[in-house]
Order: sequence, then structure tokens, then C-alpha cells
Amino acid sequence: MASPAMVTLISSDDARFEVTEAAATMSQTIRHMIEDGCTDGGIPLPNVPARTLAKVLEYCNKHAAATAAESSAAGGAAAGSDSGSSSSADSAGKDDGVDLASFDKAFVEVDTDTLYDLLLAANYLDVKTLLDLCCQKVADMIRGKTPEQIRQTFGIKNDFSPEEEEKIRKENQWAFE
Amino acid sequence: MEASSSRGWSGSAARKRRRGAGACSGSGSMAQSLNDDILRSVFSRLDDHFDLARCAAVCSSWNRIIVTANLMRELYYKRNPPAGGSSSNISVKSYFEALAMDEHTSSLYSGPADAYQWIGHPMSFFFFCFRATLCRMRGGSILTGVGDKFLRLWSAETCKFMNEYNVPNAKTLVDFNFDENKIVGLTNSQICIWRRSEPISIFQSGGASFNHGLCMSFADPEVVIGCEDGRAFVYDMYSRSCSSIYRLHSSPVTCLTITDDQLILGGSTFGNVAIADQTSGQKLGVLKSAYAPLAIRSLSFNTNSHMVFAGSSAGYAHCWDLRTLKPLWEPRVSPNVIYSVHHLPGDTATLAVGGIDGVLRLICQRTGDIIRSIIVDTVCPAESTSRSRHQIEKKRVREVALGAQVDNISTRLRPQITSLSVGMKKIVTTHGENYIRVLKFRPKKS
Repeated sequence: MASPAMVTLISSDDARFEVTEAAATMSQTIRHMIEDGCTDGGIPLPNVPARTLAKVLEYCNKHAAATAAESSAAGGAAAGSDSGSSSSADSAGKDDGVDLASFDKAFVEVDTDTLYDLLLAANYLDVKTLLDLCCQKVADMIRGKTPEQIRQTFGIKNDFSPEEEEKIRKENQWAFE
Repeated sequence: MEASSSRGWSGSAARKRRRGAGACSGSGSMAQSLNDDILRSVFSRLDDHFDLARCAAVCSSWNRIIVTANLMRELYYKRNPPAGGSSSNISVKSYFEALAMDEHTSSLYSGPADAYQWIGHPMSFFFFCFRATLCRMRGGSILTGVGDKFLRLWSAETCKFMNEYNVPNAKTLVDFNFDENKIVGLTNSQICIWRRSEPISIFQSGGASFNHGLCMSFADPEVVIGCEDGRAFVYDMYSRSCSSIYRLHSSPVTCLTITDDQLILGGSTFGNVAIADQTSGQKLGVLKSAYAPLAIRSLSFNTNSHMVFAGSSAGYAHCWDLRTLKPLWEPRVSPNVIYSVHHLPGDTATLAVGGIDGVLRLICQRTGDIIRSIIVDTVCPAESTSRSRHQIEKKRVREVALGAQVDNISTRLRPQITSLSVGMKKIVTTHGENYIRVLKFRPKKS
């Protein structure tokens, strides 16, 4: 197998990251830049600091590798004619799924600042599955909390006037009793 | 650390002025905030109407996103696909309100429950044992007191202390209630009003125009005080003047409630409830019980169904229709005195009843049938030996079989319920002891 194509990404604070094209193109933003041929001397990502980019690439590398493994397993299964090999390939794929799910779960076990950075980066880089993962994490953190607890969790300032807040609470009184 | 951080979890609106500064500025991400699309994507993943409604009350940009994207309606359609056929013309708002009430009812009727108990009114340095005899719950907050010189406000969700209010001049409170902005308390000769944000009372009624106040009820701008001599005094809380006096009974007024229609309902030690109409200044009538002798101890009025509920000293729960003044039901639900009856405002299904026998009973508002009787296990978890002041103990809730002899249950397991108040899927109780209990009920399926 030929060594995979590599691209260089440059974070906002000028750190350089070498990654496989497969991992980098999980980002639609980067995919378009590569398609447009502006990869000479590395791809600048002025909105993403190194700390966050490293984290995003950890995610992309893991998922790109899993996708590659899956497709090669699928290819193997298609080549194999007996049902035995196909079922073993299936179970291998399933293991990968479980593995990936637990990776994802652990991946977003971060403080709210990091989660916030990941959301912004995933949005800017347009990595849909990572954005979904982070949004789901935020939704999970909101679940079962009162407005005051939500504000505390995310450091949000209550900018309602007392009258506004009362009016909004009255609208769905049942949620606050 | 300050609560308002530089991280823009609250959406982009507040930071619009930063647009145009260029996306490429090096340290830009600190000042960037989550844009509306990201937040909308987060909110659309909330499949619980409680969560979504609470997010709308977090801050103005979250509210704007949820309102403009019509996310409540979207959730409604997720639950009720338009292709489903039944084209009910119920509004989304009332749909979710009805859904919440159904969930409340089914949780209280048959859902699993846990009790959370904490010392809310601890012993002072001088070994005076303080107690909490009364409790009220409203808008997710709990207010406890009577038996202590402080009223204390707690979060119903977390059981955390929020504020306390000092009763002036070493007076003893006999009754209190509160709303979003203020707390109104009654000593036997004075009314005290506190702003929720301030511990010091901002208003005390002067002069002793009423004596031996026993109970009160308020609805802006008025507060009504029921007295030992059978009279009810109406005060304007803002002009601080007594606007009218009604002779409700020839015996002490034991409990009071004001309705939205300007009616004053007052219970008596002679077992009836007098109704006075503030618009006409007349006494409208009397709700009577078929049983005697008994004293009405607690009243609760349901605006939606026009039903008046009462608990009395002989263990009866009573219900009348306010429009006809006719009794609907009055079963004897407890072998002993009932101190408190209450229901969630807007709920027309469940009534909670508590008293001397210490069993919390949930009664059907329509029939008066007992649906469920519960007590709380006193078995303390091992770690409860530590004397931390704000420790919250989780306790098990135990069912009492219908028809079971209450006398056979140890009194240790059923301390008297001196007061109770019902919130959404929860009930707070006080016991004339230093602790406060909140029972939280969950829907059966989860």
C-alpha cells in the first residue's frame, strides 16, 4: 500500500500539524481548500488555536482510521464467498462501532471551555459528526437543570429584567413550579 | 470568578458589534460566541418539554432563538406528527401545559419517589431548638418557618439555601406566604413584608387595628388577615391602610384563601367555611360539613375547577363547588387531625393531605378517593452521622397499603405533617421539627 497523502495544517498560533488527507478532509472546509488547490506551504486555519486543533485532529484521526478499517473489512467480506468470513467481518465492524462510541463519549468529557472551543472549531471546520457530538453533549448537560443551574454550568449572565423574566416564566409556568 | 465569562455561551446577539473585525484576528476565538445555528442545533436535541421551556428562561438570546425558531412547536410536531390524522386545534402552549399536568398526576399517583431531607432550622448556640412548622412552595422555591425567628428560602430542585428573612422585634410569625418578588408574613398583631432579595423587612403595619391574627392570604395588592374574633381584615399592602373588615364567623378564623374573583374564603373552628365577596362587600354564603364537631384546619381553592378543598380536625377531607356552594365529597381520610391540604395550581386531579398521623395521602380531586398513602423511611445512611449543616440525606419512600391500620406503623416512621405544599412532581413537608423534606416523584416509565 502506498503511504497515504499528507497535508499540513497551520493553527492560528502558527503550530504546524501533519495529518493524512483522509483525516483532514473530514473537515468540509479543508476538503474545499484542498480541492481549490491552496495547500502549498500548508493550510492556514486562522480561527483555530493549536490546543483545539490538536483535539479536533485526535477525533478526525480516530474516525478516519475507523472508516478505513471498516471499508477494508467490508471489502474483505465482499471478496470472501463463505458466510463464516462475512459474519466475522460483521462482528469486527460492530466492535469498532462500540470502540468508537466509547471513544466519542470519553472525547467530550471535557470542561465547558474546551467543549466551547470544540464547538466553534467543529462549526468553522465543518466536521459534521464532531459538531453533532458536541451539540449532543451540551444538550445532555442541560437536561434536568433549572435555568439558574444552566447559567452556572455555562457561565451565562442573566440579562433579563425582573419583569421580563417573570413574563417568560409565566408563559410556561408549569416548567418552573 | 465572575459568573459572566468571556465565553459566549449565550449566543451571538450580544457580540454583533464584533462582526467585521475580521475572522482572522489571532486571538479571535476568545471573543467569538456560539452562533445561533449551533445553539439551535443544541436546543433541537432537547426532547423534554421541561428542558426546552427552562432554556428559554436562561437569557435573552437563548430565549430569542427558541422563540424565533418555534422550537416548542417543533417539539409538538415531533410528538404529534401532522400526518397522524387527529387534527386537534389545541394550542401548543396548552398542549404542553396539559402534558406537564398529566405527568405530574401520573408521577404522584403511581411513580417512584425519593425523599430529600435536610436540617433547615438548626439548633442555635443558646440551645433553643428551632423548628419549621409551615412551608410553602412556589416557582421552584420553598419558604419555611414559624417556630424560628428566621424564614428561610430554599431551591426546590437542589435543596440549597437561598436566603433568610429576619422577623423583626422578636415577634413570632403565625403564617406567611410569598410570590416572585416578596414575602408576606403575619405575627399576631402585625404584617411584615420583605423583598425577596433583602433580608430586612421593608414594611410593618402600624397600630393594633387587628388582634390575635391567626392566618393570612394575599393577592396583590391586598392581604387578608383572619383573626381570633372571627373577623377578616383586608389591608392594601402598598398604601398600608385597612380597606375593609368582614365578620366571617363568630368563632376564630383558622385558615383563609383569596380567589382571583375577589372572594375571601375563611374556615372556622365550627367546621364551616364563610365566603365574603369583596366587590359587593357582602357575605355570600357558608360551606357546611355534614359532620360535627370539627374545625377546618386548612383550605385550598382550585381556580380551574372552582372547587374548594379543606382538611379538618376530625380527619375529614372536604370538597365543595364554589358556584353552587354544594358539598361534593367529604370522606374521612385520616384517623386524626388534618393540618394541611394543597394542590399544584392548575392541576385538577390530585390533592395532597397531611396531618397528625404523619401519612402523606394523595387524593383524587374529583372523587375524594385515596389514591396513594406514603411515609418516609427514617433509616439513615451511614454517613449521616457527620454534623454538617447543609447535608442533604436521601431517604426511601414507602407505600402504605390502602386500608392498612396506621396505628400499626411506628410513629417514628410517621412524624406529624404540620404543613405541606405541592409543586411540579414534588411535595415539601415540614413536621414541627428542625428538618425539611422534599419528596420528588418521577413518571412511572423512566
